[in-house]
Amino acid sequence: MNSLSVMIVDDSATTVQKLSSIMETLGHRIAGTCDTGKKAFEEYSRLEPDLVTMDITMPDMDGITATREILSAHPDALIVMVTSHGQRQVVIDAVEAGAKNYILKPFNRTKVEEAIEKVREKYPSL
Amino acid sequence: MSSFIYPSDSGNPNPKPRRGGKETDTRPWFIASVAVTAILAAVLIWHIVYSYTLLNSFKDRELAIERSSRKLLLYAETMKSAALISTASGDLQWKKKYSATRPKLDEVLQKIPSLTRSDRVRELTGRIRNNLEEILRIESRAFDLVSHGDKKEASRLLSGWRYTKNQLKFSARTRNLMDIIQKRIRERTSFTKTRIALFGVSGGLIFLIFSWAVTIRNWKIHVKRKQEAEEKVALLLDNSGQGFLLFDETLHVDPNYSLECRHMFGRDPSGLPLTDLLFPEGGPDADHFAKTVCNLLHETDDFKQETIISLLPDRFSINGRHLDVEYRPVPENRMMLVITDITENVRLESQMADEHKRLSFIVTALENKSELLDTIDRFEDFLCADHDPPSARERLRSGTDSEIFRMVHTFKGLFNQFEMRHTGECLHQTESFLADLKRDRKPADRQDLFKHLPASALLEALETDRRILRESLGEEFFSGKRSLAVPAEHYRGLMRSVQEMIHSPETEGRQHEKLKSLLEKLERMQYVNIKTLLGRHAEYLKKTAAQTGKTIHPVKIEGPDTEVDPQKLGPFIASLVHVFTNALVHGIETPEEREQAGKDEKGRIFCRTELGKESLTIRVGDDGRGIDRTALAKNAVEAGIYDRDQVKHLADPELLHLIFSDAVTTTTETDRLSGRGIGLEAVLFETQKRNGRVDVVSREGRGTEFIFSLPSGACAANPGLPGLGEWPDPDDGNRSRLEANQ
Repeated sequence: MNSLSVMIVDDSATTVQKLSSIMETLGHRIAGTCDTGKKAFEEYSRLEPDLVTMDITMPDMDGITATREILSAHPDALIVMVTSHGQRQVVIDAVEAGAKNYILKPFNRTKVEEAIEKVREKYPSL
Repeated sequence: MSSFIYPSDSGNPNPKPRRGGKETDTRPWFIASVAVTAILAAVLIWHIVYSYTLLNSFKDRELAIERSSRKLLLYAETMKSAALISTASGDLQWKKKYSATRPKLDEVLQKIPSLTRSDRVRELTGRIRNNLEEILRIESRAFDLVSHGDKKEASRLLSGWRYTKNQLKFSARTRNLMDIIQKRIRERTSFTKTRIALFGVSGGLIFLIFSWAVTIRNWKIHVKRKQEAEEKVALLLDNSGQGFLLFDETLHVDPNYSLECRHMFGRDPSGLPLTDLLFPEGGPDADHFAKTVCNLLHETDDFKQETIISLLPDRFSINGRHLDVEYRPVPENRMMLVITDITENVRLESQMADEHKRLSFIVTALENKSELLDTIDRFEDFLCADHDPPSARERLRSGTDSEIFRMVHTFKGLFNQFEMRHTGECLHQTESFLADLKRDRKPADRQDLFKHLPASALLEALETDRRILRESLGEEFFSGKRSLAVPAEHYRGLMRSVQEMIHSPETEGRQHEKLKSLLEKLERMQYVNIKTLLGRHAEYLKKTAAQTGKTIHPVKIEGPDTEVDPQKLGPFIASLVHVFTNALVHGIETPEEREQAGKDEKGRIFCRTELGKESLTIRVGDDGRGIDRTALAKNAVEAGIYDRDQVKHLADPELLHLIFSDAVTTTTETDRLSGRGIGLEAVLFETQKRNGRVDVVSREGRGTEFIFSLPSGACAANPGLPGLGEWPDPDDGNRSRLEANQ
């Protein structure tokens, strides 16, 4: 299975750390992390990762807007939302906007793996 | 109302099955239609042939008459000529020719009436005959005159009016006869043809009508079969216990839905907007839902559709029912909802959760009895400050808001630690209420917070929790407190003093014996019969059985009367509540299941204690369904404890031991896995803490037995064993815990 380069967008250092370690155990590479939506857009253009995990609530630009911005410039971007149960409607908006999948908090290795595998099934080029 | 509902849904829910669809068999109809068609065709052909034959024979007869008429004319003309020549010439030779023709004429004249049954022809023939007879008579006379040589008179006779008139009439009537014959032939031919045509047309019409009848009948059978098939599907759907409904992009429910939907929504959902049904209160959630589902129906990307569906709300609470909803896109931009009523499951889950909390609370109470009772005392003192001497009340009243607030907060923390959820919850509400009050109040009222305490509500909550303990552990749990909790320190001190004295070199002989006896008595004071301790679980099961819908024989605690140290063994025995509860909840089947399995309707849960030289054995078992090893292995793999290969090679005891792992047994599948749910990890922990071991024996369909073996260090009946006389170090528990964790 190919290793993916993953960019993690989350303002919680704990979540970033947990996601990074799970991604690494799954054999993926962390291309970069950032803690605001605005930076996410800039970083995406620079790093061009295979996959982005996107938090929903962040300072300066929320995850949905960041997702929309990234997708308008890079329509092929594969973005997976990271969210909690209470934010389902927001995730639906994000998926409608073009996010490919979502990971519900609290997550574990299995959940993350499943979410990525589902995207891989849909986009075999990954 | 149109629905999947079977027409007889109210009257006959179990219609008799049809026998082989005999009444809808089309074969006899097909054979009948072919037979009737063949008969019709045969009759038609026969009729045509027969009619033509008749016509031809008629024609032959009529033409024979015509021919005879012509012959009549010919013969009459021949005879007339012979007579005229003979009279003119006087030659009687012509009479021979005349006479030779006469029999032919007679023959023809005889023949004509036999050829027809027509009165008109016969009448005409009769007249012709009369004319001919007259003619023949005149001609015969003329020949007679000629033979007498009276040519002149003969000639006059033949040219006379009478002869001429009869000749003319004969000729005219004979021609008339021929015309009549021709006309009859024409008429008859035309009639026959018309009749054949009419017959053919009516035959065709009958055939056509019959074919239509057969076609219509077949079509009706087809429709009926289709209806029956639809009704059967509807019957299946209506009785599946699930709701099925369809809706389109307008979000209005299709009139075809399964009967269960009506029960679930409490009304006929046909034509109603889905959002009204799922969100009776309306609100932004309903609007979001409507918008999302509308977009979803037009979504062409299956992956996206699937992802969004997984985000849609799948549980709804409507009319006090809990509904689980599955979304299934179906063709033509429509969606199907599969609805399952999970009210009962939710109720059971909540009952189980309550029961778990209750058990956990009881175990905590047993483990922390003295601290708990002390806390309750202090809490009551705090609340009932009004009844205390004025000084105490004043002391509390003079406390600042912060002190009152902090005390409420502290009690909340303590009671939550003891898992007294009613009291804890009531304190939490009180805390929030006081916080609001504090924030909103004017500074002048600052010292009045105490009087806002909802003391009676708090006491009520406390009593609720206390009642739980009283019901499960008996009143002695509270009454035993004074002799255990408060004097325990003194008791420990006394024990230590006696032990020190025994081991002191100054102690000698008889004094030593007395001290040993005193120590024994002191030790015995704190010991409790193990049957009493285990008996609480038996009592508890008796009460719980009814709630779970199981029936069991009374649980007897068998074995010798063994006195044990509750300080050492209490938490372990308390933890056994999980084993007993699991035996009841998961081990013992429902009375129906037991009856089907050929077992006694009442389940049996047993408990036996055995005291060996070195160990105390407690066996707790049931005669229930046993542990489902396959499900256990599956859960272990899912929980990531073993991988598929490892789990296959596990020995049976190792596999069964997995039941003690919360990680395995608290997965969602646990309850279906023949059981062994929550809390067994705690039992294992308590067992290992006491250097004990536990074995599990389980046979599918026969039951499960837990065999606990503990070093008998905690048993007064065997005072020679190590540990009996030693009071446990307060840190012992922590150390064991650490070891167990390691």
